[in-house]
Amino acid sequence: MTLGFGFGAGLAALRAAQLGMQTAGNNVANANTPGYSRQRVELGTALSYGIRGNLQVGAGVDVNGISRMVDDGLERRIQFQLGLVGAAELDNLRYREIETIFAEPDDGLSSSYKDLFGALDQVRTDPSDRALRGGLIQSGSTISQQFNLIAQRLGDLGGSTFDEVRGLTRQVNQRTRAIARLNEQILSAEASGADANDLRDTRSQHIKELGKLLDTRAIERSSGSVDLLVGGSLVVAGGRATDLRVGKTGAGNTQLFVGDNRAPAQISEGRIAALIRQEQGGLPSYMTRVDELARSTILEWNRLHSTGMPATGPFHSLIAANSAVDGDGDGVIGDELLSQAGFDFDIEQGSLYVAVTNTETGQLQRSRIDIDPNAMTLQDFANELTAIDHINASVDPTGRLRINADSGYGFDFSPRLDPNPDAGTFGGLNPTIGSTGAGPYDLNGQTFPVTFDVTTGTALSPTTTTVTLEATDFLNTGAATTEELVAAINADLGNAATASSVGGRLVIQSDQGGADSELRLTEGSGTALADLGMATATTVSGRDNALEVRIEGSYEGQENQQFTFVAENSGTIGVTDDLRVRVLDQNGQLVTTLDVGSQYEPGEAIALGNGVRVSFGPGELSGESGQVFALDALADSDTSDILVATGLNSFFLGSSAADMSVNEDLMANPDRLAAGLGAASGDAGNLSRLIALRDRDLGDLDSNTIEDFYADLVGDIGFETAASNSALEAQAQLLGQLEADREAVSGVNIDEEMVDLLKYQQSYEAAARFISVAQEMTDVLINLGR
Amino acid sequence: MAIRITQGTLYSRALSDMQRGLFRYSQLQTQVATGRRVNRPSDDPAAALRILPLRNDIRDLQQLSQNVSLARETLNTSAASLEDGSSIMQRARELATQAANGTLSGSDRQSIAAEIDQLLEQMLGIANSRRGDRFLFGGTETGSPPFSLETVNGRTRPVYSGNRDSLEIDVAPGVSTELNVPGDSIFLSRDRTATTFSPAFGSQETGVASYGNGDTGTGFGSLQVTFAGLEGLPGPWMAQGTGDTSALGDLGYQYTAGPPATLSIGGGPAELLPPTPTEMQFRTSDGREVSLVVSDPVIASTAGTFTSKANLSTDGGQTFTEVSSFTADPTGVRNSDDGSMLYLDVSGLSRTGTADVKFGGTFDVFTTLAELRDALVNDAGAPDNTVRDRVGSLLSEIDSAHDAVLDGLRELGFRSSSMDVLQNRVEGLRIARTESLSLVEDTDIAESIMELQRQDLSYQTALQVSARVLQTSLQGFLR
Repeated sequence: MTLGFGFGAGLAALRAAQLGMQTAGNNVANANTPGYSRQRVELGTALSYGIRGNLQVGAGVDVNGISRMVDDGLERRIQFQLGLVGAAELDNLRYREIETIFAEPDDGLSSSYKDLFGALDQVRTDPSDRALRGGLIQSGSTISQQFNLIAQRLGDLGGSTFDEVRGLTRQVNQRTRAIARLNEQILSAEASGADANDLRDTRSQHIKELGKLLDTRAIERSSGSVDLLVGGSLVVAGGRATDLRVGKTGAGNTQLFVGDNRAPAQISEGRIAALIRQEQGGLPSYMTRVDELARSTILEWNRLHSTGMPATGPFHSLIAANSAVDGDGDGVIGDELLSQAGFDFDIEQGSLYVAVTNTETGQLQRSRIDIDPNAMTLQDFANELTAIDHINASVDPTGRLRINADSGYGFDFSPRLDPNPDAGTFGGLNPTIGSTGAGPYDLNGQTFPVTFDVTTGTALSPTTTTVTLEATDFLNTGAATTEELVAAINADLGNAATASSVGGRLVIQSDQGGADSELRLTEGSGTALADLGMATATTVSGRDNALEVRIEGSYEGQENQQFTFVAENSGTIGVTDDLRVRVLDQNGQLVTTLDVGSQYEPGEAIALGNGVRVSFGPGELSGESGQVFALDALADSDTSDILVATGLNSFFLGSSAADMSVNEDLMANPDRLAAGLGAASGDAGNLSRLIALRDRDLGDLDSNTIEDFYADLVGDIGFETAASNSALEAQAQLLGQLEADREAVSGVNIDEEMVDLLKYQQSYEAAARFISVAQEMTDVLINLGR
Repeated sequence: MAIRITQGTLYSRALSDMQRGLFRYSQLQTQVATGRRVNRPSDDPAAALRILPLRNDIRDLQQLSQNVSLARETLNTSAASLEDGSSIMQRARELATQAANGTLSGSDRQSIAAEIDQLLEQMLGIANSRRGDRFLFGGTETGSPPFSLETVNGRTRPVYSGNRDSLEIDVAPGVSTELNVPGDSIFLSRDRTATTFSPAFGSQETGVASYGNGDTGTGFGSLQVTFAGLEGLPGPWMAQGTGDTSALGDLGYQYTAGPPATLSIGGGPAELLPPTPTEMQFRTSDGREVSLVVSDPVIASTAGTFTSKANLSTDGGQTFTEVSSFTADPTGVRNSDDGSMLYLDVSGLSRTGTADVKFGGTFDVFTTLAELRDALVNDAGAPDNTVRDRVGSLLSEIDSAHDAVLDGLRELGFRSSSMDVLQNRVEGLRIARTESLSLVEDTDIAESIMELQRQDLSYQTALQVSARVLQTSLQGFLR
């Protein structure tokens, strides 16, 4: 036994107990510190030394260190999960905002559409009621504003992404700098060999917070410092941190860069990643769908509205709402091809039918303008309009088309039926000879030049004019078109007679009318008249009274059609037995044969089908002389969309959700609402077409109706929001579970610490007792020597 | 070893339990407060998809219900007008019967005529009746009065300026009805029958007949047949005279060489021919007259035919249609006043004169009343019995015009009563749709309140348990 027996071990035990109590105290103190990991004193037996022979006697306790209770794998999983939760939180927030913007199912676009289509039904009950018309226009304005608001708020939401990302990036940079600083401190603290537990906890906490914002990869080096990678680039390397930068792509999308890297950092989790993803995917897809909806609504509504008739009847003047732009920059507006004139809506290859009405007589003259957007300029179009009798058009300096009608005339683009389609070639006053068939005609059997004589005037004073046809009059003499023939014949006829094309048939009519006027065609050199199917055998007389043809109803067919009415035989309407009129479609196919003979009462309407009714007044018909008239039956009077593109008689202006509005002309004057197709004050033909739009599947909307497309959009928002709700819940729950797991490993249990305290307190007391015993023993030993 | 539970675990679990309880609590509160289960699409996206079309349906059905009411009201207004029209026609018939049977003085007839004129005016008012500022009987021309009366050449006729289109309105899903009956089918007759001729007062049968169905005149008309000259005379010894010629058509002559030379026309008595041209009046076997300037040609006896041409006019002699060929081909005569056509078979035409033309079945309410009035006013001064005959012949026309009004009334009544059926159907549909919507979007209040109470209870329990658990720690027991 030595003098120092037991003091060493006792002292070590005292120190160990003290440290244990201190650690427990520290644990209790930090029980609520976020990221704090429970610490534990690591005790070990001190190295024993031999005393006697083979016996090994323990030398007491050694404090090996104070360690953190951390599961590194768990920490990493939590960090990753934090990123997922951060992204899910942001997604959820965004979707809830979007859901609020659409304000369904109560105050959103669905009720605006309901009001708009409802207003159509209302106006239809009395189209002449100005208050109801005003209500419809107001509904149009409301839905436009609703679209504007949605576009603006979705835009704001997308526009705020950059600022939000920049704010969050600032946080990231602060944290990376803090981590770099901690790396250095940990390095220097641990150089002495002890673990820098609290510094490490703080660093872990910073890394976790980073994980909420974006996904990083942490690599712990053997030295104890941690390197952080964002999208493969080092942002923290030892004690050095590299800042993240925020930039924008050309398309305005937000991007994140590491330091001076040219390539944007690829991140996939965390709030920042979610923001960038929303900006690129979620928000624009809704914006696109809202724009598609607005665009289709504007396009389809305007297609119908522009071909309708305002309450005031045909237009006297009309100014286009949309301007052409000076695309080639030569200072002249209107000389660009229509496809390149900067209109928001495409102009297709198609036709526009323009009706010019004599406001006195109601006589209607319909002209067709064929439009090729790749061969025609706006000025060309204006020229074509001006070529129509009684209207003229020009392109004003702002690039808008202006159309004016002569005094006493009006124009419109309505597909309504011409009530009096016969221009006098069907039982009219002037003697007429028409071809038995429609062009083109085969003149290949003739040796050009061929001639024929046209005798006009009266029996007492006839005038003969010779018509000469040259081979050069025709592009192809084997298929001479009616138009070519009309031009060639009229060039020779002068004031004696006029050739025209009626339903594609060549018709020659004397310019003199009345019962004593006559017309006779005689072959000259060659047999052109025979080839053309023109009667030569008879002298045709004019009449004192014209046969009146009236058309009623509205055409309900799907395709534009031209009906040709041909007298099959000769006689008096309502008198001659079996007097018949053949009705042919534009392909020359027989539609029906009308009996207008002794079984028919003049003036009685006969239904042709497709909503068209025809009636013939009293008079005489001649089948031999090829009497004919044509009736345009239009389903769509503008297949080219040029009215929509230029904004002629438009209801809506603009082309997207953001710029949609109602034409100011309508807002100022409800009479401009095109409720009808004809001028009758109770005509609701166009309203019916607009109402039918509600149930029409539109190709531009993936073959949905307008409201179904929107309902799908709302449904998708609902599903996405609900999904983001449950995703957030699931991720948060997972995080909770992981945090509970972490708590199980690293958390402080007060009870446990109390027990530890007691334990160390008792161990301290015991060690003290031991020292006191050892002292007594030493005392005994010392006193032995006295 | 069991999982370590720390105070931190307990706290955060208690917190999240309470949060969840509160969230569910607030959800239920909103549902009960708004009465709706789906307040945002994300509450139930599938339901949201059904809500929008259902709401549209309900809105449509409300509109349809309004439309049905509007249609019924409009149809009833029209029907009420036509009922007034029907009483007018009834009164007109009473007056006509009185005028046709009684022995009335001229002034009695004048006062009846004045009343008929009143009825005509009232009838015009009915045909131009309005609901609000829309004319009911003008087709889709609702902005201006559809009917007006026009008097040409002493004859009153109606002019219809409306059209034959109808105001259509939807009254049930996929069903539309016509709000109005275009007036021309009610007030203007379209059941044309044969045109008949009768000699006018003081005139004889002319021999014309109707041809086919092509006539377009209405009511009564008059056809004047006048002499238009001779054609095909055998030689210079026979020329047209200036005296009256009432014989028309192909006339045979018989010259008997003399002396004494005689000439007989149309089988009439042979007259002596003077040596120098002299105007003579010949008479045919049936009493028709021909004025000729004749002289003895001193030739062998001969016989042949010549033609006496006719001029036909329906507009009081303003325009003529000349007839030189008396065959069965139709001859059309146009009235320059109203553009109407009359087609005649002139093969039997033999005598000049004036025929009253009756365009059968074309007596509409206006024409009938006007004709009745004009017959009673009797400007031509026809004898009483002629007037009575004419008024009597109008009785059947009054009846058929009245029938047309009644037909219109029946049509309107039928449509109006079908509106009642539709109203019920639309209402039924609307209720069914509203119920569907309610099922989809509304809160089941009883269930929600039960649930609310349950949540309340479990929230309270959670609070109490948490309070108990969180208070507990070893510390408390170590004193």
